[in-house]
Amino acid sequence: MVAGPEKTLVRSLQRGLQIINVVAEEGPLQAKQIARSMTLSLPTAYHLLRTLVHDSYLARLDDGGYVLGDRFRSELSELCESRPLVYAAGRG
Amino acid sequence: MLEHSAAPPTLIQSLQRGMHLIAAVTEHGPLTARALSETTGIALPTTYHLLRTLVHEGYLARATGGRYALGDQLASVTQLESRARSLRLVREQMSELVQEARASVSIGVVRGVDIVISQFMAHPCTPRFECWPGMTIPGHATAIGKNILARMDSERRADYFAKNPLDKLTSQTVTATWRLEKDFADSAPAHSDQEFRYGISCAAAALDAGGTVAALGAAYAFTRAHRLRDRIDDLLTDAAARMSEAVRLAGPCETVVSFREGIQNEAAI
Repeated sequence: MVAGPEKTLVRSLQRGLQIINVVAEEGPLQAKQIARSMTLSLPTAYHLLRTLVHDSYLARLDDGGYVLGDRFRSELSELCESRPLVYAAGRG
Repeated sequence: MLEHSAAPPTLIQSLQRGMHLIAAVTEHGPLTARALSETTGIALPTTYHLLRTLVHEGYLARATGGRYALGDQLASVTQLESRARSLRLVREQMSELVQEARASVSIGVVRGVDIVISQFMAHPCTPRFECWPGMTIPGHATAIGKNILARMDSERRADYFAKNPLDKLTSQTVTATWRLEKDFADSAPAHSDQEFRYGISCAAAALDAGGTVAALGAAYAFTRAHRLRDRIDDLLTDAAARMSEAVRLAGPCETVVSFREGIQNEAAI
């Protein structure tokens, strides 16, 4: 973490996670809006979005807007159920 | 999205693998890098590489014993999403009520010891009166305030009145506690006829927003009150019920929300 942590990060993963943040906060968003708000080129944004949609972390609406997808949601609801237990057990 | 079904879409493997690691921690709880590598089938050096990014972005956090636990970012994504979704639904319902009732619509919530406006949408037919998100409103003189006070227990209500004097804002303002208590006993929507501002009538119905004490109000010209009161009461009651339902459905992750105090109060309503 001392010498330039940015260089050792996986950029596409980082960008993918940031897309999830942006969509969660402001979705539904069009690919163009996502690209603009993250200063990505449109093809790069599409590439990342395609991967996230393929694995159901995002869903693409009929009008082209992106929202959080089913996979993400089901994992999150699991998270809701498991998190208090994790704390209660004093794990982590 | 099957228009190019012949050519498989090119996907970004590192993103897929990173998400896979989050899923594994969600499923199994905190795990070491080695255990994650074994569970997911991702080579150990790659796993380390991805974990560094996941920790940097706050999706995972380093825990004791070299294990990786879920980070705060995942919970905050749900909150943001659920909050944004609730807010959209609330604004849609408010806008419908503005059109149907031709009234200015607002939502009031309890914030600390005050009753505060959190949302406001004006209708051009309603005479202008001051109302903005963040404005503290007098509980005894407004329909929203009365509706919220009516649902407090007597102790909290006494506490409210101890801190908020019963100012006479118009000649219609009710300042006698026994008369206010009579108003509170009515179960129908609460009303204020020129008790807050001359020329303005307001009705308010309870919003059930999962823990947040809130009320939906519709304000209109006092001159329309005798003709339209019942109709607006009906529209308001229906809208409040629909809105409560929508917000309940939109908040699938209440455990997380209630787990993280402070943010809860900033819910959409």
